[in-house]
Amino acid sequence: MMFRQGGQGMTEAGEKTLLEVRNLHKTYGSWKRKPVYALDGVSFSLQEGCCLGVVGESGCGKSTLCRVIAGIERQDRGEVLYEGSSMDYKKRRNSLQMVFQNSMDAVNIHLRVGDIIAEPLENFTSLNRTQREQEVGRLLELVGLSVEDRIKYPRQFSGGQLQRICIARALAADPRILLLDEPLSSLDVSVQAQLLNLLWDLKKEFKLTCLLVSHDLEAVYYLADKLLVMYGGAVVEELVDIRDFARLRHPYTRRLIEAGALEEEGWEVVPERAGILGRKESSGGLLGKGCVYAKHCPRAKESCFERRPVLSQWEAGHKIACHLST
Amino acid sequence: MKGRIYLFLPVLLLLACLLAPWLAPCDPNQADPTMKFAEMSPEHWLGTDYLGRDIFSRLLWGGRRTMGYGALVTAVSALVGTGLGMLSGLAGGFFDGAVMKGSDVLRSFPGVVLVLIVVSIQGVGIRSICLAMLLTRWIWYARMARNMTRVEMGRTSIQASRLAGSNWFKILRRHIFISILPEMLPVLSLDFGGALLAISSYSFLGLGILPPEAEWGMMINDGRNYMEHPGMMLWPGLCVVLIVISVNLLGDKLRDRLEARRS
Amino acid sequence: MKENTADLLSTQGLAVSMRDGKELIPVVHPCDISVKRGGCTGIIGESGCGKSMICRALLGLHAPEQWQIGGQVYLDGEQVPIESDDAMDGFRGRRMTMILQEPLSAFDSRMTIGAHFLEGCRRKQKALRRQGAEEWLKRMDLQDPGGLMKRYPFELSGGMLQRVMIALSLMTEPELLIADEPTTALDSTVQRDILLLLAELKKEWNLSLLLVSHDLRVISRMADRIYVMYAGQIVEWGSMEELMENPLHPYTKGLIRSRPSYSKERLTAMTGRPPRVGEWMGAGCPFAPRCPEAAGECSGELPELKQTKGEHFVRCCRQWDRG
Repeated sequence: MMFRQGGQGMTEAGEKTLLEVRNLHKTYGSWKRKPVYALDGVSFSLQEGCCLGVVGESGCGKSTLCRVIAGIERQDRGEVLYEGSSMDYKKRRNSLQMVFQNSMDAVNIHLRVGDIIAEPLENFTSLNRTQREQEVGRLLELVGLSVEDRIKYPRQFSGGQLQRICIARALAADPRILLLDEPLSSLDVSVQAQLLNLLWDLKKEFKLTCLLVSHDLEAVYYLADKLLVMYGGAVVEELVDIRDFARLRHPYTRRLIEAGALEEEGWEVVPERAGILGRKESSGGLLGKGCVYAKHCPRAKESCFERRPVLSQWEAGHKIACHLST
Repeated sequence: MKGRIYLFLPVLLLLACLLAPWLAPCDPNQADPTMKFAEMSPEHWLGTDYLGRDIFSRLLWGGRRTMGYGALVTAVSALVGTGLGMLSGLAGGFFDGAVMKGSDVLRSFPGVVLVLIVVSIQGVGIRSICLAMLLTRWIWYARMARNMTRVEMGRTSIQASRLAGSNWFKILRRHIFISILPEMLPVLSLDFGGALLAISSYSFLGLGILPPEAEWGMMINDGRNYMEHPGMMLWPGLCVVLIVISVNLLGDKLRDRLEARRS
Repeated sequence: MKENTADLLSTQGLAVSMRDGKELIPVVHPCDISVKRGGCTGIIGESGCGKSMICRALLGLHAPEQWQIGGQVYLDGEQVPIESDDAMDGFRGRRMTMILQEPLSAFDSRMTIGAHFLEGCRRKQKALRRQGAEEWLKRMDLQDPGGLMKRYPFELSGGMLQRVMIALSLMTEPELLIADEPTTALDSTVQRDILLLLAELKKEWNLSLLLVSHDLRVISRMADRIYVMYAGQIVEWGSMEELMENPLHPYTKGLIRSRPSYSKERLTAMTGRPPRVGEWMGAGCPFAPRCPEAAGECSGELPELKQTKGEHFVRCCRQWDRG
């Protein structure tokens, strides 16, 4: 296990809960087609200064989770509680900001970078033009760009730089919580490392509370304090301290870890049924009574198809939704 | 620079026409039976027509009308069309359906028939022509703006803008309008060319501006009866062609510029 | 299985330049790469380093109006006519094929999977071809190949499509499979399955692989020989074990260190960004501005690709003597 590093914005349990999500449900599709459960009863809480990592593969509902929390989409059922009361997106718009996956699409290519970053400042603060320009310059430098970049257009930047601009825009709103939706995907390895370090520094410096959504467990481990593993719209495993990483034991989580492992050991494992059946049918949870992962689980028993496992305490700071672990 | 000529020529013509009261050497409607079909001379730069009126002066005064009404029709239809289209694309649902259906109904009338209907109600005159043109011209803008707005709405940048606290009006103004503008500009200038042609055509047919007022299309029509004096048709014809071509080319150039600046 | 240690594919000074008016902008500088018979060669580098350009050049896919290709390519000792589109027909798709990064865009969305297999096939042969296709699909661990043939590309998941694409390209039983970022667009678990499949095919069919990726994990799992590319040049190459255990070029080291690996220690990220195509004009080492070990000598002239020991070459003047 890793040793604790000082001053990393690490939070101990018992600190103030900033965001709480209770039993979120969200389905897509109309009455014509079978509904797809993008979110199927997701609950968690996020403490101040803590970084929650959400891991899962495409179609597991992790992006939907971000968008629902950010208020871009409405949940069908469930609650988003901010500081104990229901989130008011009109009044507290600035306190939840989001960084999107595709940075090229997340900025308007017809606007100058300075104007892009200034947009939240115009709406949330009463700064005048010169003050805003100063603030934009400060933010640009904060994310590792130069003040002169203010007058450039987005097309003059690479994907990594654009993602920095998006982070600067999110920070301009002075948010309490930063939602990072796959901020690293589609970037080169060295650029990913640069961005990871930027986020690491920001987190350390501002004690930023954030929700990091990614399919990359190693990147999540690097930044996050807490871990949620999602599959088919549901949380299958929850770990309060990510450094207890070795204790993860849900079959899906194990498979995720093995997939990323460099070692050859994982090679002998029988390929998951999902790969062969094709995940298209399984993306999102289809309404069923069994475990969301049962269809693809190499260790599934009969009971897995019949009863839905509940996310329950396995040991201190570790919850798991699996019949095989109870 | 090579590209400047597209800008230069229409601006020059426009200026000349705007300054017609000061530039024109003669009264455009002053007939002089003794000077019928005069050749080009220092007095009458481009000669005179069948009533002995100075062609150059009539060109300047006529251009004022042709281009003025053309610009008016284009501007109003672009404003109304783009605005309505953007709102329609933003709102979606019932409003969107109503606007699009309404435009379909209007579009199903042939343009000329619509003009004839309006003329038969309102009487012959430039006001009827402009009205009839306005009735159909906004549709193109509305459709284009609506579709482009729908595309823009699907972008993450709009969601990001919502998160940044901008209201829909601001998003419309700052994000959507600025994104569709480079696509709209060439259409705008093409349409201006089209409007010029249409006004000239209707005047040529005797439905628009009434004699003795000067107008390019009408001047061409006048010249038609006197083929042996090609100057009467040549000069206004040349003006129409030149201005339409340069306006079209200007549109293309403008788009290229806007695109290049941002990449 | 035929035992032959000689290389199946080798290039001599393969170079790609982009035509810009009358100028030529070098995209890939002359490089010599080789693939062992039945082996897997990996090319690693970041986007814009020219790795995909090499793949396309090997198959003669560059439009001659826009690109200039230089150098020779040899497949099994035979020269591949990469410049002639017509002469390439005997090689492209038959002796060497390619699978692409984005499986969905590689398929025609209006054609069923079956139609892709039967494309350009005479009516009489159709039944036979269909049978062959189904067999290949089965080999790719895909269930119900018959039903699959009737479906449209968008109905399948990325992993399935990638399998279909592999089947499609292996139908002609090629000797060399070029895989350009075959797993980048896929989820990590599916990614693993595809790599597993490729490894199996390699073993079973003595298939040679040229694997291009930006992901060191993918490359190091599969390849026996690795080329590291930077700014259109090979900066280091060698056998997998040697390169992974004893990387010499600062860029290679940087790439390895850039990956977080279940650690909370601050990453040592490389600073800056790679030069864009045409930005670096040949004075000194292209990596020097980002290099943590750069010294005065680095900005002098371009270092050569020199052997350090055994099968390990590096293009860095500060590393030659360390090997």
